[in-house]
Amino acid sequence: MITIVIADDHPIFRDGIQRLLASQSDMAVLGAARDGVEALETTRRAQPQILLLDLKMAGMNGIQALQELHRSKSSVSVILLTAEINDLQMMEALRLGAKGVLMKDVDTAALLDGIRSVAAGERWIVNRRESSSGLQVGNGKRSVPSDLTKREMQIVAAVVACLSNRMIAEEFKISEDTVKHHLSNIFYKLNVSSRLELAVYALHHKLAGC
Amino acid sequence: MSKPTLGSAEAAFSIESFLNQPLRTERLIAAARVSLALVFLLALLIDPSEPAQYARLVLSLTLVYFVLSAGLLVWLKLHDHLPAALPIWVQASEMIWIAALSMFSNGPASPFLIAFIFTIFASAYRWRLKDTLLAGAVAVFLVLGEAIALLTRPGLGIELQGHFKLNRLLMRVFYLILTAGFAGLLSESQKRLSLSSMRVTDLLAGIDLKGRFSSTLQHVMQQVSSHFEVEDSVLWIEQVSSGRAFVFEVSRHGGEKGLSALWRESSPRMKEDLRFELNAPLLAQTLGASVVTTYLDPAHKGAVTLAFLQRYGVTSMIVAPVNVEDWRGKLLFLAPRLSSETRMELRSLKDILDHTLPAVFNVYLSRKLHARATAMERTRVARELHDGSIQSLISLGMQIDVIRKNSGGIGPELAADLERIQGLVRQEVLNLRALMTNLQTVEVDSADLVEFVAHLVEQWKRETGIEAGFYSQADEIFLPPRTCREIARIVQEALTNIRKHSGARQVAVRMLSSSERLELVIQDDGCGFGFQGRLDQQELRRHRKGPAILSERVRSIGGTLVIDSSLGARLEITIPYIAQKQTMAAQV
Repeated sequence: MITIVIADDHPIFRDGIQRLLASQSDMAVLGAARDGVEALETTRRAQPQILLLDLKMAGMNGIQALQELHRSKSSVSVILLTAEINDLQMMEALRLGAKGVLMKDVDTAALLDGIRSVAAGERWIVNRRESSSGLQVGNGKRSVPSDLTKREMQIVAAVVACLSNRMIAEEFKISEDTVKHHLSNIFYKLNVSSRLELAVYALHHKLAGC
Repeated sequence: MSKPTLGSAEAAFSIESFLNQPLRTERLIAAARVSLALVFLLALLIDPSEPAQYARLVLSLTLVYFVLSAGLLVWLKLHDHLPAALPIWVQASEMIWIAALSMFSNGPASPFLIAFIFTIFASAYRWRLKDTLLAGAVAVFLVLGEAIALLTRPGLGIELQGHFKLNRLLMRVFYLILTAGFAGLLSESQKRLSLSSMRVTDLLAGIDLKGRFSSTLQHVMQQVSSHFEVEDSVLWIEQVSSGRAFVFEVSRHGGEKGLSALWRESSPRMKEDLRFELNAPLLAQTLGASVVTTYLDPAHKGAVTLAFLQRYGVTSMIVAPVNVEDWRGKLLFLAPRLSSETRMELRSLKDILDHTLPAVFNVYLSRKLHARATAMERTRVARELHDGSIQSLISLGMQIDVIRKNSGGIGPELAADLERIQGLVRQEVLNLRALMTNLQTVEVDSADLVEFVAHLVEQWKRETGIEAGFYSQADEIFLPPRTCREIARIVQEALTNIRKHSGARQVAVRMLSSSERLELVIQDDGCGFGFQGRLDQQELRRHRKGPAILSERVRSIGGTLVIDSSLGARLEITIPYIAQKQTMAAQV
């Protein structure tokens, strides 16, 4: 049985997903919270396997709640369930140990599939299952991380830390064009197509101390 | 005396139309003339003129002069329109009349010579320097003519009498010349001042705080350009706060019909060229291999180089500073035609710009504030949709799903209905999300357009689960921010359409730029647009095929759209940089 706590500040949505999950024979909803603070309390009290955490909530938001769980080394698997998320928020969430990111308007089958996958120990990043080697994208052939140069490793770490190209350029005293060049090489070597994929890959492989 | 004519530029500013100034002028002169004639009449009644034999004649002539002057004043008061030739005829008749009066009252020593001074001042009041000098010259000619007639005593049957003294004649003639010179210069200066203030008024009157910023700018540049008979003018502005620079070009090749305006981002080369210090307008002209500069501030000598003029393909150019609030820039008038008084023209331009540019900047601020307020309101509505309606609908969909699965006993018809309702709810969520995306403000310019579109595609891919890739070979894009925003909107619109209607599983977005155009290709493997083959914009409109809103967006930025609907759908959008020019009509 997959035990779940739901944290969402929208009462109608909270009610809907609670009913949906409760209707599944292999899932049990242990509690529902209206904001981050309630989510932490309910999680501590109910010790669920999965915490479905909304990103935007009044009071303590999803990222702040995630930071708190990360700090307290909580064993709960957090899935961000959100209507909108940008790359930076997603990388930050993954860096803080979120196991999944699901969009609210995904169809119910995919939503349930995502929850079951995360409960089984996998990562689920926006409608996609992440295998042990990272996101299933491209042709699947990747170079090994050791192919990356020292500078490329530094840039990977900076990307995971959510720095923009300009900030990376300032950090390493290089031009933005050089940063873009390094990123192209990294994307090619690791066969990823975006900063997000790179961040997920780096986190998964603990690249550059991530 | 020739009728003073206004140049085309001056006509554009239409002094005459302003409160019917010539009629007012003529009425004032006529009133002064009546007073003068009355004083002459009274003086002659008290003390008749000499020589005594012509005293009655002079009195009669003065009486007629008074009656005619009074008649003219009444006529001018009763009429609202002044015949163009009337002032010239009045001036000429008056001078002949005064010559006759003075001829029979001691000639060059006549007290009526003062009336010549009146005609000179009247001329200065009506016209400008040249006309006043001409009036003075005619007066001098008549006085000298009388002196010669007095000396030679021609056999006209008239016995002229007078006390001729050469020293007095010379002094009076010189006095007339000086009066004409000073009055003419005063008149010229006053007329220029008036013209300059009229131009400023006219320019300011054309500035509409509620209007488009580019239309306002175009109006101002066009009006100032017309003064210098310039066909091409360029405004280069650098925003101090952001460091970004823009160029606005106005061209009126072929007259009003060919009027066009172009906003674009400044090239680095242009930035380098135009960053020099300048606080007053200057005129730079080539003379052989060197540049001659006419300037108001000596520090600007040599500010414009030959290479700079050559880059614009002209031999002369006015460069004026634009220093208002957050703007630092230059206004260039290519190949201007100036009168011989260049420095005065430059000073006049400085006055006009000093008064007009702050108003233009206010329009810019007003539009910016308006846009920001609109954006905030749209963002608020989008947030309401996002936080409210969309989530409620998603929840509704989930609950329908629960009912469907838990109600094993329901009939197939009800199950089908529930499935259909769930589909409708889901479709409505997608529609609202698309609406929400469209409501949100797109802030993008040429520097970050590629990155913006890449992010857009990546996010769309993530949200929809449809495989999508973005490929760019667009290194340098010089497009105005509005066009960049439209391009971003076009990509958004196309991706929304793909998600809603195409059933595609793979999408590719490509962006290529050259020195002449930007090409955007959006291709998917979906069901296409319901026709086979390639159709251009005109054919799409004729057959009522293709995405109408997207097509309108492309058209609004001067681009072309071709849709290939053979294997999936392929949208080819081309935006030629030159096609960014929008006609005046389209802008206003």
